Formats: sequence, structure tokens, C-alpha cells
Amino acid sequence: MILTTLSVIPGREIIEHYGMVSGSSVRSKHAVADVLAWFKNLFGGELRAYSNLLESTRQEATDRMIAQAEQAGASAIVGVRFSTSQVTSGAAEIFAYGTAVKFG
Amino acid sequence: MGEFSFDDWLIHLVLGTLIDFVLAYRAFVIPVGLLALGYAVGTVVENRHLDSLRERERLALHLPTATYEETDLPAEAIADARLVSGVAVIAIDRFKLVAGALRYFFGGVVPAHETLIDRARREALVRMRAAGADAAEIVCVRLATANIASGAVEAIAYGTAIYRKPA
Repeated sequence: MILTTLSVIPGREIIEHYGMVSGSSVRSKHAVADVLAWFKNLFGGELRAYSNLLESTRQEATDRMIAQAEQAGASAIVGVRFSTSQVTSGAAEIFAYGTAVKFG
Repeated sequence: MGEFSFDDWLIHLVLGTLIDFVLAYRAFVIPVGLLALGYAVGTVVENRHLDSLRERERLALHLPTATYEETDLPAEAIADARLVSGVAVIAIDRFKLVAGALRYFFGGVVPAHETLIDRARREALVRMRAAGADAAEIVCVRLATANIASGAVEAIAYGTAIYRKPA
């Protein structure tokens, strides 16, 4: 599965469009990371636990989008975008969306 | 029991007065102390991060990164195109939190928070470039921000890494 943020697949030709596919993942913060974050908040700096959480959330949303595209029989997703929203305080959603296509 | 010298007596008096002062005014001393500590350590941490960012951005200069939605490379020269991304979560230090809160009261520019979001975005971009280090270029770069942790700035950078066919 080729993923690109462009509206074309560089070096290849799109022969079929399958429409929009999307995937989302909601993660909440957890207590242990939050205690560490409290200490970090004294001095600033990177919250590595939350960076990892954000990365795995993004990966899961992407995987769900890919699963949807595979179901449609696509071989690539073009115009991929990520968007985020806060569901409640302490939980956030990452939404991945794009257009499923087949290349020749 | 040992002899109680004048020096010991003086040290006890000074230390005792100090401890009494801290305990009596703990509602004031502890928050202000944490604030001062946050400012001092926060500034050191921020400067070190900015130095490291500048260094890594300099090392990544050879890799063109652009937001436009096309590539200059001819189709026959392209081996692969891949989605690359980088994320970063930067904590707000206590001093900046308080300084920002004061700013919100009066309104206006909040420089304390500007540097935070700047650091988070640049860190995410540097990581994205590291993920596509072997690429010829990264095009159609987009930035997004998230908010899982309160009191932290979270940035996501993503784009399409274009790989050239070996000549």
C-alpha cells in the first residue's frame, strides 16, 4: 500500500478511484505518564511518554484507514491528511483520511 | 552530651529562623520557589533544545522540504514515494504556564507560548526529515497539532518522501 499526501502517485499512474477512506483512533492519557508529566511541567522539556502515545495513535489511525482501502481493493491512498480533535479533556482523537486509488 | 559551643548555637538560630520562615509562609514560599526553579531550569532546558534543533536542522539542509503538491523529478526517475511523519510533545514549564495565564488576563501576544509551539513544530519536522533521510525530497508537507495532555503542546508533521532511482 502506497501512501502519499500528494493528489497523484509520483512515478505511477492512477487507473481507478474508490472514493474516500478514513480511520480514527482515540487515546486517553494515563495516570503514570501524567505523574511524570507533572514533574516535567515544573521544568518544561519533552514528554517522551506522550510523544510515543501520539505516534502509536497516529499509526493506529493510519492502519485502520489502510484496512478500509484494502477492503475496497485499492493499492494506494492519495491526498492523505491527519486531523485531531479533543473528545473530552484527557482524550484525543487522531483522524486519518485520504482517497483510495489503484495504480497501473 | 557534648559541649554546646557558640557557633552551634548561632547555626541553630539561623537555620531555625529560616525553617520557621519557610513553614510560616509556606503557602507563599513553595509556589514562588517552584516558579523560580521552573524558570531557571526551564530556560536551560529550552536553550539546550533550541541548540540541538539548530544543529539537526543544519544537518538536514541537504534534504529539500516543501509544502507544494508536486515533484520536479520526472516519473521515470522516481523509485518510490512514501508517507513519512514525525511527532513531538513539549511540556509547558510552570513559569510559562503562570506567565501565560497573566497574559490571558490582559490579552495580547504570549511570547512564552510562541516559543513552545515553535519548538514542538520544529522538533516534529526534524523527526519527519530523519524518517525520510534517504529521500531525494519531501513534498506536500503538512502540520497538525493535537492535545492529549493538558499543559503540553503536541505537533505532528507529515509529508511525502520521494525516492530517486539509483543512477
